Amino acid sequence: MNLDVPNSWIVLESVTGDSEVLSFDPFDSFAHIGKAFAKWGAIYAAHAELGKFQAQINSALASKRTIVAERRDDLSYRANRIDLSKARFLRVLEIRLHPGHEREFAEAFKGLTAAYEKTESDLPWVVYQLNVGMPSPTFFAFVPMRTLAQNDDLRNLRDLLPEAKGEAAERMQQIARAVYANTESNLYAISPEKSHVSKEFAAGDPEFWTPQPPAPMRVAAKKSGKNKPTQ
Amino acid sequence: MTTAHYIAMVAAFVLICAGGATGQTKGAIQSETAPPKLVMLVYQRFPFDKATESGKALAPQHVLV
Repeated sequence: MNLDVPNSWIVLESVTGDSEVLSFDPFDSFAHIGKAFAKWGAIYAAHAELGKFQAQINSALASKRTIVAERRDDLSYRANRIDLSKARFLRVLEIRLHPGHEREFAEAFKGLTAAYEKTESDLPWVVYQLNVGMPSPTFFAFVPMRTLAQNDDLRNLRDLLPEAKGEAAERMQQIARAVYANTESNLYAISPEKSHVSKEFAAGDPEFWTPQPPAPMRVAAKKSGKNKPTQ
Repeated sequence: MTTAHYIAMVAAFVLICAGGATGQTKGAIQSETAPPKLVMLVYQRFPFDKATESGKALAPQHVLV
């Protein structure tokens, strides 16, 4: 059976924090989500066996939380340089604020962005603001990484940041103390075999997203003579 | 989780992943691999530390929110 599914998803498995799986599903708009929702409804109506699978999966879950968040370019750092197809890990910072302090948070993060610009860091991040699904105001900063070693770069940058922040450093600390309800930072590994991405996305790193069959199969094919050059 | 249960979940994943993704907005400002305008985040936890095993079937799970 070949299903034409209406959206993509990238599955992330926790490396730190509580053991969990996080699905990162890209959309353009709520209208896009609505169309996907409707199409999935039709798919499930046409394939009753999927409903059974769904029930089995639901019975295996200990907990599930779904949220939708929107990108905040003004709080992101060089987000236009991010290529998600090249990432292997995501560092995710979740920041929950006390109500009514979004403006101060934005001020602090813009200051942080300016400081990172001074360091010329090549570790871009993208910030999303919670729209629906959990207590707000909440923000998420995603740092895509090719390797976990890039966390060392992040640690080294912290030593440079106070100087780069300059006079704004104390103000940013004041804001953090006053408006942050809590923060949590975790690392996730991208699981290509559990993800479903478009051909265009996979083309960004075909070896990772569309791995070749295991070697024994290729050896078997050669032995059968299928790969012999024609004369 | 029983073996049959596990096999059913893997089968669901394979079934869903057999097709291609459509419905992506063509001609959007950002490229296909750039951070999207909206993201749906689905956090899922499994009992008995079965996240890795059960994760094989998670792909179809999140779309029915």
